[in-house]
Amino acid sequence: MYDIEKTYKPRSISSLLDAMEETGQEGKIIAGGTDVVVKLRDGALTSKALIDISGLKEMQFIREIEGKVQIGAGTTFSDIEEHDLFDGRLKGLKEGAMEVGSPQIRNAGTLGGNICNASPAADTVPPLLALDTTVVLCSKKGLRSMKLEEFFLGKGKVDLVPGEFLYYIEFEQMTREQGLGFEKLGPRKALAISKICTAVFIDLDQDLMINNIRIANGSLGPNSLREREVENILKGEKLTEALKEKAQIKFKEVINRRLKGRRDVDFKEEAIRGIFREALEKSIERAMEKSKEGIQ
Amino acid sequence: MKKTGKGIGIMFYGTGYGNGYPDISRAKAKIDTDGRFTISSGACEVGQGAKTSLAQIPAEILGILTKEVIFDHEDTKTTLDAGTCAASRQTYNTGNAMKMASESLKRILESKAREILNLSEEEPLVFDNHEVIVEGDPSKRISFKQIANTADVGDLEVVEIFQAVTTKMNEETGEGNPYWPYTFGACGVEVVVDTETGTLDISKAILVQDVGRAVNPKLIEGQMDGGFAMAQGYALLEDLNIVKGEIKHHNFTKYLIPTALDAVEVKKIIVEDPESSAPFGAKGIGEPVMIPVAPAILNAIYDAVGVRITEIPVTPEKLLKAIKEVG
Repeated sequence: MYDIEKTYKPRSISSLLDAMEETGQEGKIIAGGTDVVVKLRDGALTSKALIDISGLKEMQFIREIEGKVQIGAGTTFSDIEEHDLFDGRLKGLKEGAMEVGSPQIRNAGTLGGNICNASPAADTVPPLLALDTTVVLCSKKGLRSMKLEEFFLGKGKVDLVPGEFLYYIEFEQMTREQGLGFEKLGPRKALAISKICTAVFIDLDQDLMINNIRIANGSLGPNSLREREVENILKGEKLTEALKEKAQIKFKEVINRRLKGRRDVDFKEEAIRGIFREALEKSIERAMEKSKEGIQ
Repeated sequence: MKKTGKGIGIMFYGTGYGNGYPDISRAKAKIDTDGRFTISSGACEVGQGAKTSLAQIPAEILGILTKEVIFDHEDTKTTLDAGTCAASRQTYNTGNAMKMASESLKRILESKAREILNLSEEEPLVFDNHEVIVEGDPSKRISFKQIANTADVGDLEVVEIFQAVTTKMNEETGEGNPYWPYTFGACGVEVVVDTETGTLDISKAILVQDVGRAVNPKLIEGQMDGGFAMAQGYALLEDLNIVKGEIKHHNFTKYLIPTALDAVEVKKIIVEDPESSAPFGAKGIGEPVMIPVAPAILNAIYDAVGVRITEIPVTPEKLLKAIKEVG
């Protein structure tokens, strides 16, 4: 019933690269399989070879190196959920990971898969975009890196060349006065594809000046994307209720323009205001929490 | 902004096939040569707890433990027809048939015991632990097995048939007695509506169900939790999305039902008001527990945000649109 003729289970990066070279265009990498298996069953994937990287320990890590957080592409959502690095100001990433499917799916599915599948509704991608994440790609030619934002080429498409795979991602560890917030609107509380998911990174000084802000959305375009027009309203300004409302109105305008003509535009342009507000408040709360600690 | 509202729903429901349709359950009770009691009936266990609660009925009558009742059910080769597990009818209808069969068998056992022990008709008998015992004189006793060993084949086997009372309604006048019995229920919920996103949470829930007699309270609570969750899905999630006759939501990725995380802690109140025609007063509650929930949710939404929703499921899209329309 399937086209699969060969399967590989590399135990090292070098044997993964060999397997990719051997299979060429016919090889498909499978990690948790939470998307690949579904596609196979639906007949939407006709690869002749599967390369199973679920046992590849070299791609499963969460570490801090020289002020940067690095996460291996083979790291599962559950790994992120359970790691205490994501309990404080970085909690927005954990919140995104916890919104993925069910515990069973989170035990199997990986961060790399969530990125490379390039679904516009991927729950972990908006937090990563808000963190200005860099992707590190690996091939026999060596490592190549680029911004996650540039890695997406459209729905279901990423900038991987033949023989290349996503090795890990990295972003700068947060300093105090920074916080990451996340909010999702789904039709139910688990196992639901998001209708909107929004992440906000904020850098807020003690006088409530917004030094920096990055906002990213899922399910509101062909890919998850940064919302620079809204960021520009907020960046360098003093955080007030009036400013928050101004940003909400801008958000509605941006979404209306982008989704015009779509069936769900009326709903999404309204709902984004509430979802953005929740994500923003969470980011502020986390940024302020750290300020308090700083004072003590 | 988050707005809170409360709503109630009340209902009554006629159980059984109704409207004159023959509603019949059959049961066969017997004692085998080892003195074991078996009851057989075609009622199906479909998760509602029939296997447990129906077996409690003969146990009560014959003075044995529920776990000692050999209940042969479902198998169409060995059991008599007891109708469908539908219309919330098994507890009442098959319960009655099983009660009648058990009581008839009990009378046969009493009569055999009097015969063997030379007892007069007046001497009171009790049933305990597979024995028939003279009340006040426990030296006079005989086990089911001893009775079975003196009886002829077929003597200790009895079939009873229960037919529910139902008459067809007069289409001209609306008069008639279509259902018997009726059950009654009520539900109250508190919802919190997010007026910016149209999402809602059920923050409190209470469900009250008239059961006649609670044969097995834990199983009833399970039915109430299940009915509430099912109704919550009906009110808020489940949508076939039929477009030009085609069901667009044809799988569980699209046709959503509540998950464990959506489930609400429901305060459950069981009301016992025995129904005279029912086995020990017990009525069926399978469907009734679901009925008042959606109305309660819709009323709570109205209380929270002042909009009357007239189409379910109430998705965030529909609710947000309605909220915006009233301003």
